[in-house]
Amino acid sequence: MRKLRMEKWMVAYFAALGIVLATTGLHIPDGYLSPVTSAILFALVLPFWIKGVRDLRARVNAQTIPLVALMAAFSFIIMMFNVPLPGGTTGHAVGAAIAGIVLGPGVATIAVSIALIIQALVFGDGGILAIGANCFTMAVAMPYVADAIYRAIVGAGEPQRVRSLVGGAVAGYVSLAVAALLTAFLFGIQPALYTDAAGTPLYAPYPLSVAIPAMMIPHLAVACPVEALLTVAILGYLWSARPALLTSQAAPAPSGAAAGRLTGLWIALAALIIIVPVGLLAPGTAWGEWGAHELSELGLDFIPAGLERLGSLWGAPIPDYDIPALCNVNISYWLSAIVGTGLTVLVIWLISKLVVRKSVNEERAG
Amino acid sequence: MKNALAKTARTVSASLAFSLAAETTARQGGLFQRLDARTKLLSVLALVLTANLVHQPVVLVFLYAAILPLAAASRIRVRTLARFWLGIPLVAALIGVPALFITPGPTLYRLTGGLAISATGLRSVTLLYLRVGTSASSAILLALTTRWHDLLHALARLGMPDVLLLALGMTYRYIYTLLELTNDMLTARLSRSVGPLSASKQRQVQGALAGTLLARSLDMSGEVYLAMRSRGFSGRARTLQRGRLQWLDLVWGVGLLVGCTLALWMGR
Repeated sequence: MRKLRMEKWMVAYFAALGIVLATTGLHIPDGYLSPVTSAILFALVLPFWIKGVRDLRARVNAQTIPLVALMAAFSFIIMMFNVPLPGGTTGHAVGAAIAGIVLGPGVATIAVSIALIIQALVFGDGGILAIGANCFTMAVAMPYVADAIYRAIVGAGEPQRVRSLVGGAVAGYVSLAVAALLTAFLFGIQPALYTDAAGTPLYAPYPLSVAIPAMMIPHLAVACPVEALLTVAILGYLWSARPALLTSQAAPAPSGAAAGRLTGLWIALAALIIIVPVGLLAPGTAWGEWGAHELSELGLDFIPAGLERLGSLWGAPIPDYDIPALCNVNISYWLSAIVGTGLTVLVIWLISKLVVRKSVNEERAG
Repeated sequence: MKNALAKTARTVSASLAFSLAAETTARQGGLFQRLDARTKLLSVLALVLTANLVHQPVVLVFLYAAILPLAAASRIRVRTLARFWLGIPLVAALIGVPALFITPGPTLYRLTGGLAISATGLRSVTLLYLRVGTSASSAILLALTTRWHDLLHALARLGMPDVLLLALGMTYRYIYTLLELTNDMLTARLSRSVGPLSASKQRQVQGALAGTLLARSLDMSGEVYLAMRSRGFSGRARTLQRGRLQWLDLVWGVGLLVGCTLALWMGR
């Protein structure tokens, strides 16, 4: 297949279109992503929803429901704010960065998700099948990235106004850029994964080489500055009118740093699972992972007897990450990634439980 | 400098107007209004899923066209439908324009300047347009013909946890409170403005509005909680179980199932 890349006229076209569309937000309608991609993103968002509910219960107990409801209503309305940019244009903010900074990413995930679900079901804004994808980019990635960046810039101890504003600007800008990049990635993998026999892309038509610049140029130029400006404007107001909201949140909890590191790891893990099928684009077998059959295909006349004997000793339940019953190698690849990750996490969790129990018993005995 | 504050006020008002219009449409006696909310929710999911699984443009054209009589039978205003049936897919088509030229495949039409429309490119953009149009207008059939509490009831009967239902219900209720609050704050600020505001001043005002909204939301959540406790809320959500599936639901459900199965079979 011919390598597709952005030509000059396309850069101009997407930039102009993107600036016009910057007023419509980042909501993915149905039709751009395959139902399989949508289902996988639902599965990826699920653990973050569970974590968000747990965070809420830990923080506010019985007040959980009204707090979530009001924060979701706030997220809904903040998406309507038109922020003026230097140069005369205006753009919509997502508001997920400020939600992540002030509420904490767990609670922000729930609030922004509820707002997105109501937008899809009641206002027809964003697809119904794409709810998982929209929640993943705007309700999960944005608050977590914004919170991590803000905390890194503000630093430990009592936060200072200037640092907080700089942190808010960078967090707003980068978090939306990450959300846009994830969306571009989801669009860009569609033609590699879903085409008909004639090679027609069945969903979003552009490969990564086109989708990423087409999404990123207008977002970096318009939407990201809007998010940064709104985040700074709200932080500036809160510093002058309600500083307690910022100082109480910014003070790290005793286990906050460790939890933050773990959160980062979970995000990285989720991102890695999404990009797993990219491996299908690479031809051949990974270097050094040849089986006896592949070695003979490589032209090696001699197969070591031990390799031949031991190679067939263990039959993997999902050989080559392919589940023939699914009739689709991409779904198999994703499912394999989720099953593999899940099993790994389960084993490590069981081991850690055993170790913790053992050390607690030893402490008690001591 | 365009007045971003006025633009925000217009967006907020349009949102209020949309939901009021939706409530009015939902009370009319059209086809979709007579169906149980569960039937509608599952029907729309089936329609959207079918539209996204079908690979033949001809079959998608039928699905896309089928929305029109359904919308007419459900008394949906032409102007509202046009936004979702034509507007949203047109944006998808505009996004897809370069794909017409760069998607590898047999040349269909050669333009001046070395550009050529490929058959695969045209097919791909057509698929995108039809999928997006069918999905968006199916979703709006649900949104415009179903009152929110009926939708919540349907979600409850379909197994959504009570706590989430309560959060969704309260969110919806407070969206209007906050929308009104935002509208009042914007009107109050705009009525005190003489001449155009600079961009930086507008950003400052937007920040103050959004910040006030955030602080008020947090305060209000505490007040709402106290009010709930005073009425005896114990932390357990309860929903009113009502509504029964009618013959019309059964007939419609079977018809839709047959239609979607046929579309999936023909559109492989």
